[in-house]
Amino acid sequence: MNTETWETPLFFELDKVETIAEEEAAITLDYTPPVILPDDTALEYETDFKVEPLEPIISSISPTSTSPWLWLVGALGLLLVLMLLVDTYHFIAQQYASSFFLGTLFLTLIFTICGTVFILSRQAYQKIQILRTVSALQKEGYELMEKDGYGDALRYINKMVHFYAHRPDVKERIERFYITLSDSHHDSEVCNLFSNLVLKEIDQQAYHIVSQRSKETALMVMISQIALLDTVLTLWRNVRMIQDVATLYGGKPGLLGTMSLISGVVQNLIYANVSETVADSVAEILGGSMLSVMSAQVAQGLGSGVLTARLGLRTMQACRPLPFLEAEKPRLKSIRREIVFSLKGIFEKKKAEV
Amino acid sequence: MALFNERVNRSLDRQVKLAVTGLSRSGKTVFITSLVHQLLHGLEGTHLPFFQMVSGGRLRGTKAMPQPDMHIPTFRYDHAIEQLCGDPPTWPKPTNGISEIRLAIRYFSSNPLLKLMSPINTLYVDIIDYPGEWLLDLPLLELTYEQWSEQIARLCEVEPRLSLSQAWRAFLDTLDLTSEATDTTLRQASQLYTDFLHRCKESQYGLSLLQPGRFTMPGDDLKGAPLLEFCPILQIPEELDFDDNSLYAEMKRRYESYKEHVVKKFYKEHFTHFDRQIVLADVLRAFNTSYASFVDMRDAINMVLKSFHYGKSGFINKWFGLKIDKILFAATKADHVTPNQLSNLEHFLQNMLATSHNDATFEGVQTETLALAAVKCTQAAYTTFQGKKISCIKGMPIDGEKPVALFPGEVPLEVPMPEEWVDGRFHFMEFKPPRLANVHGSGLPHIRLDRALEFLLGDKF
Repeated sequence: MNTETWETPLFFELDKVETIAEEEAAITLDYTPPVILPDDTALEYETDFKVEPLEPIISSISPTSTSPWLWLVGALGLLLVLMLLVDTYHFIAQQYASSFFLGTLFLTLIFTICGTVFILSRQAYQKIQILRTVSALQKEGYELMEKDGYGDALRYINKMVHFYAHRPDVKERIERFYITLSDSHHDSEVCNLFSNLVLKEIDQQAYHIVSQRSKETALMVMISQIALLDTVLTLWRNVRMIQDVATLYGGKPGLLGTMSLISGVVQNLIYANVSETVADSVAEILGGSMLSVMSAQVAQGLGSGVLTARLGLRTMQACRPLPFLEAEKPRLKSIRREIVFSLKGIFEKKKAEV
Repeated sequence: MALFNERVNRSLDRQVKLAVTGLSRSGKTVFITSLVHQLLHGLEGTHLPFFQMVSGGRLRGTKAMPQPDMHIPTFRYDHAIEQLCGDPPTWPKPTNGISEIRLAIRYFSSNPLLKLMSPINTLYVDIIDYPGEWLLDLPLLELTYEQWSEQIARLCEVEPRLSLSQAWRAFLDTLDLTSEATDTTLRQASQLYTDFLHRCKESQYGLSLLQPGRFTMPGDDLKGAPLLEFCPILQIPEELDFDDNSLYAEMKRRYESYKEHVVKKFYKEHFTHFDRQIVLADVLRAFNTSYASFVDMRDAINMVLKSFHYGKSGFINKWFGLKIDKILFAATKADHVTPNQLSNLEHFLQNMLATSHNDATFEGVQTETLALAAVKCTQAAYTTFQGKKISCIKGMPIDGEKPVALFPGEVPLEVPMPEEWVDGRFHFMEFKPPRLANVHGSGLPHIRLDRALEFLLGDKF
């Protein structure tokens, strides 16, 4: 410290002293004064909660990387398309030269093919778009629940309601939700209510599907003797499950959609919360040990069943437009127990028969 | 078999004693009325979405029962609701005596083990209503006459008490404490002191820390009793060996007997054996009045809360008397601010009661802070004002015939400096209760009362 010390007290001019701003209790008359509005002010209320027309949701996914590889692939693709076009043109012209009938036939065929491809790809694109919407909604919902705001949730909920507008069973619950809502509810409360009144039942259905499919997988893997067949069976069941869960939550993924969903879910699985995975696995090892002593095949079945269940729960998290609250998150524990029970039941029955 | 079932049911029934704590005019009666009404109408409507026992469909019904203490008057829920829902609706009159209500809530058990033994259970909730003024007597239990007098004397050194207590202090100065006590001097001194307390209570001063509580609200049984004829003294004499007949000794004797016969009795009969507590505070009224009134209210509440027993009500504690294991701090009249200010209000209350909050959590008590309105009498709205979209509320003012819309001011997050408490900064208007058509069919409109219920009683079901 290079500040000198003095033996006598010293006084300074107040305006020449630098203070640390936060230390001083400053008096700031900075506030919003009360406003009594004139009698004829137009007021808007939020009492009649209605579904508003859907605004287009801008997806924030627009990769603008200019890697040379992209150029190469682009150029190759363009070359291919051009060659195809030129070739087709020559082919059609050739056919017309030989016979008008043949030419027209091939032309119609090619148009049909082009049209179908166009329609299919548009559908696939739309389905992927829906999935993207879900992840955008999830992000928005997460933000809403995090900060204790007011007045933004309804716009968000209305977007979600459009997801379920065509489903009569959900519609009834949505109406109940709008009746329950009051103008004093905060954003997080509104989301909580929606989750409780509308999505809870869908969660239960999805959970049922997941547990059903995991049990099926576990059984099939246990029964089958061929390793390759195991893999194929598991894959088939898993894809079916993912599609079913996604359909339940409102997005109807096509083949491409399922692919992207699977890649997302698997990525999620890999980067999943380590502690969660460890806890589950430990329970799995401990709980399954008794069974695995009995039979290696039962253990195999249990393993693939639990894997399917985990995949299913991740799919639920990925497809639910409103993120799960910590307390509502579906747990693996009870599914695992169900699988063990069903396997044990079969095993004991077999034993009894022998 | 039926008898056996009955026995099992009775042994599994549980009981909760809910302490509704709040200074005078903090909305205790309205809170209790609304709570009873919401529970009685729990089966109809969707007004309690965050009270999981009700929203989950496990409620079978609620009934008001005769209370266990036969000598206490019953809380007149029917009278209160009649006033609230009359035409024109009015707020219930200030409480001037103690009353009690017992609710029997019958519900389907969710505990898998209990489900097998007795699927339907009953929870008894006992609630007491009393004048908030009497609460301020509780701190007296720990003070001697000298300590109390000193405390009052210190309070009277600053405005607004300094000027309000002028007449009483002038009279005290003329008295000789060693002289023999006469009924006239005692009566006059206590009368002047009572007048001073009444003036402090007037709405333009809005002071809360007014002791003894029975001076401003004597209750039916004590009006005119000599027990109420004393007052604190400003200067405690140096030598303490007074004649037994002296004014000082007489005052002291009366103070002690007030403590013994009024405060201790009240405390013992009604304020032990609580399980849960809700502390109601009308923060907005303090905002409207002044910094002094705010400080007074804060000190009064913190002082009162010191006289409750806190701690985990474990198995052992149950044998030695229950302790409060959950406290809810509630800022009432949350409908008087715009909805986006609710979190500010909660934050402010937490800040204001930080001492009590700390003391409670130290004892292992679970606490929560909520802004609530037992009966919501305004409507949230938006309007465009000077080109900006602002949030406002609309309601019928307490002394008006035409509804007004206003933005009543921002609730500060922390206590503003005394200089910031300028005129016109806050305008939290009082409103009339809403006019409702279907009161007897479904619950009253409210703000976050369901969350309060979930916190206070949710784990008992």
